[in-house]
Amino acid sequence: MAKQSGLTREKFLEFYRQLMTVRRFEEKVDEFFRQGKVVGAVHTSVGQEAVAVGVGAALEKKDVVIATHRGHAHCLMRGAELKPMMAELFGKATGLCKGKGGSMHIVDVKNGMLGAMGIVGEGMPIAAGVGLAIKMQKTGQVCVCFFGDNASNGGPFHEAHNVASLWKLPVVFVCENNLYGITVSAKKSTSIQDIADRAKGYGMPGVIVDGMDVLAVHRAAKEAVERARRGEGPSLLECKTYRFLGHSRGDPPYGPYRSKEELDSWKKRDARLLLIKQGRLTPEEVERIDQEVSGAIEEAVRYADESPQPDIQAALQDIYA
Amino acid sequence: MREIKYADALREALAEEMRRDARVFVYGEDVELGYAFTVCKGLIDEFGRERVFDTPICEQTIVGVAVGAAMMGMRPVPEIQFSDLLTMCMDQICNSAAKLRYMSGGQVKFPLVVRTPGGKWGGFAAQHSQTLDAWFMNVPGLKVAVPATPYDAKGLLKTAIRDDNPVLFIERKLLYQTSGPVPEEEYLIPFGEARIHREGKDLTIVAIGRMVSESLKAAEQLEKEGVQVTVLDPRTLVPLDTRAILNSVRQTHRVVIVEEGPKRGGVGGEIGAMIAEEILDELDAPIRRVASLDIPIPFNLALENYVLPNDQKIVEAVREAMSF
Amino acid sequence: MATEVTIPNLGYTMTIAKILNWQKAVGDTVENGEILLEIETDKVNYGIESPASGVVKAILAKVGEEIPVGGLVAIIGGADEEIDVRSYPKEKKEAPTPEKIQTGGKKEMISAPAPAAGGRMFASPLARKIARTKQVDLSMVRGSGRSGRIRMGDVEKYILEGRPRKLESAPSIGPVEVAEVIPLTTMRRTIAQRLAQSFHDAPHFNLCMEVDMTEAKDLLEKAISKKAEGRLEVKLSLNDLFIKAVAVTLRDYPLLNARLKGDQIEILRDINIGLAVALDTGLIVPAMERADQKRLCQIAKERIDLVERARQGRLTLPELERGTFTVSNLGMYDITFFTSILNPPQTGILSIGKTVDRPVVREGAIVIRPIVQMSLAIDHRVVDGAVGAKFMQDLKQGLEKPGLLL
Repeated sequence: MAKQSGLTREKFLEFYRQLMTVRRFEEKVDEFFRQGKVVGAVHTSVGQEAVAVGVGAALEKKDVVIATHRGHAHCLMRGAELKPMMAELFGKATGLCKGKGGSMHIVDVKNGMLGAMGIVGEGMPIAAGVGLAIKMQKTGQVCVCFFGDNASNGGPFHEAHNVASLWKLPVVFVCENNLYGITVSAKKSTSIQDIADRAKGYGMPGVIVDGMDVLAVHRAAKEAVERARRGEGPSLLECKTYRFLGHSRGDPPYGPYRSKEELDSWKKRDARLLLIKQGRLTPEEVERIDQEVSGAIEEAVRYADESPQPDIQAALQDIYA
Repeated sequence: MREIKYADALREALAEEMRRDARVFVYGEDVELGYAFTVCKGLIDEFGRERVFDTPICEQTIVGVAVGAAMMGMRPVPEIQFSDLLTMCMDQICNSAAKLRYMSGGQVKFPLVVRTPGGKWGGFAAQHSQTLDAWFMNVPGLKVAVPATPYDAKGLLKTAIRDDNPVLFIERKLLYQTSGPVPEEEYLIPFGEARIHREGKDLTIVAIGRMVSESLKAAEQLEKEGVQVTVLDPRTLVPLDTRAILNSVRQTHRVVIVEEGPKRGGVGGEIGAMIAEEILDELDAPIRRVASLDIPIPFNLALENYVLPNDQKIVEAVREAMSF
Repeated sequence: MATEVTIPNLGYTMTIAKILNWQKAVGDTVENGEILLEIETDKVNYGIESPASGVVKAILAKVGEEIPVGGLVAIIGGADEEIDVRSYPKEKKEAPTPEKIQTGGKKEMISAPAPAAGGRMFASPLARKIARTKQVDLSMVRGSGRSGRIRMGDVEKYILEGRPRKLESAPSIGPVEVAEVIPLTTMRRTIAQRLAQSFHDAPHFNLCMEVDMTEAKDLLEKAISKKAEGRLEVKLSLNDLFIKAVAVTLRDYPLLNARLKGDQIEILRDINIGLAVALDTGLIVPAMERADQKRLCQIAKERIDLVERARQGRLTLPELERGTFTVSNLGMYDITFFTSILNPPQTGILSIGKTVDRPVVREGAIVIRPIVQMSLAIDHRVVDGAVGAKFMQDLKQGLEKPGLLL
């Protein structure tokens, strides 16, 4: 399998590490959220990490990403450090956003994470603008814009896809179709089964991808990113995936609107298991990486715990440039 | 000094700023031909379609694109054809442009200017004649400019474009073809600096947009009645030159606030409350506001004039304040 | 042709009147000169005559309501005439300017207090601020704004005219149950304002003295017996003697028969002694003109007349306003000694107690004599204590040897 995919062992281990970093981070955050240590709203990517990891691996350092309110994974895969990320979730002064953005609005510009966007659909028109700027500045960058299945039903999706295609902008639209927009299943909200079909309506390629397979996501993303970089315009990737936890706090993994059977069937296809299989990773390797990742996260938690609260005056800063 | 039209002054500002900074670009619906109110007309000839281009009808994305481009270091100046359509862009203006900098802890900034005409035209009816200035005073993170003369329009637009923050630049349809003195030499008008058009000891009129000229007409008439009024134009609503307003009212002890938008929840309420909060003891008469009635603007011209404020209504309000 | 009926200006301190009663109702015919209604001012009750003949078309003020001078209270018109009440008054009428009083050739204009309908005073925040910082009592200021509203210009005018300033506000009253609330009548309010003003503005200097009334009483008894014999028309009282003595003595002390106006002292030409008369409704001080020139029996006659008319509310304004010095006697209430507050704008007031037999020392021996204690309060801005003392000394001599007075 390793040879077939053309990837080295190191690459697989790297993928695995990234996947586990996201997963352990998200699990930890979810735990803190339920404890009340993290306040407000938190949306984790447990179960759908492969999309962020796979796409992230296809990008160059200079590329930029816009994500949704469920944006920790994307921030992490761009290379955000764990400590200031955790500190931001705790609202501390040492957080990426100085404690002023929180989970839904996590931003790490220096690493090309332009931001998690709190409003559904907000990111897509912005991504079009980013793409326009890249084109005008001729930097050869690519902008990847993540969004969910239900977001593809809103106005901004359509406007942004239209202009991105019209102006041949270097944008890759990645739909993380986890089949639900909070409690409303895609079946109830979306007039078509495969969101990738909408791409045709906007004159761009639309690709369906197995979102639980890091390698598959990586392959598809690579193609789309290179197309964009060549100046041929945007693409729409629809990654079919599933979130293992609830939408946010107070929402159980299954019950009110998702059946246990459905959840279990997706858990069998856990990206982690798939990757281990694909890369023929040994239990020792797995154990080692798990330990290292857990250790790093523990450190980040300690850091965040010990970090100071922001000065009250911080509330008055960063309004205007 | 030469006299040029408000629309021409704006065009000059755009051209000058585009020459000065290659990152500035202009776009929107029908801007290549400069169709709607002529401001962008001819710019494409000098700057090409790279920097002056039409968009589809998608106001939300017109502003969203500005947000994204600004984030990456460009300086976009989109035009929204009618300020009534700002309603389509509210998410990108209020949730993105106004807030993302703050939420990111200062990691990003949005040097963008959304230009748009507000106010009456004459028969455009309720959805194309509104003045929504007040809405944007209430959104932290934005700046709001409301130029009343060609001189102010040019100076303020240049400042807006050079500002690293999101600016809502709300022009007036009926002012585009009005003329006024504009220097040949370059000049900038800072935000938060009011302009006093006329000084009088009896009462201060605070007026914005097209209401400045209406107030000046009223002032002429009032002078014949022996009442001397100051006409003060804040020029920018955010930041507001509170000091100039308070200083003037400290001297005249009476104030009338005039705006074209509806009275309820309008700019007058904010400025009036600010005055009462700061210098209640300087007031010799209650604060009065002149604004539109709280009614959608009718199509029929006479009805439209009935609903909207004008110099006569200003005169009456001043008389009332004087007699109190 | 409709005619407006308004509250007339009856005196230089009058600003407001209370409607006491209506003699006519809407629809009644009325003749020119007929009494339409009665009003109460701070000094007198007054009947307002109809300015025209016709029918009462509208009555615009209720009994008990307080209306400022110049205020519209009724409209008289033709029987068939249609009146739109809302269009009245026809012209924007300023309340008539206060009358000017001649005093030694100088004119005086006094600002009147603002009308206070229902007890509230309307003044702009700016006017209030200026009043506060300059210690002006807003109730003393006349407002020129809408409905008598006080504006900055009115307060400034008040100050420029050199009007009096006020005291610190009264301390608040602790948690004590209130048994009854009595609203101030116009008269009471005026008394309150004037006395407070007097007390504050004029530094009172008090001089006290005892007078031996032996010879005075002798004189009186002879006079009374004369009356009994039918030879005198009136019954003299000690008070008449006091009035005469004070008036005559004042001839030599013109500074005590004066008043302060701005930074000038006006010496008054006539010596008009005010008599403090206590009515149920309040204190009233009618004055007797040129008391120094009148004979005792004339003084007595006038005294009796003034007091009687005071009780009936039938005094005239000139009588109330012409006093130059006041004499107050509380002897009939067994008060042996008291001091008074100057009656503004006067410079002196004499407070006379009860004449009581007391032991005194005369030539080394203790004898019983009728002794009266009196105190003189003077405005120390105008005169010094020594002047007052000398006046008292002369007065004492005069009273103790009354033959010299007559």
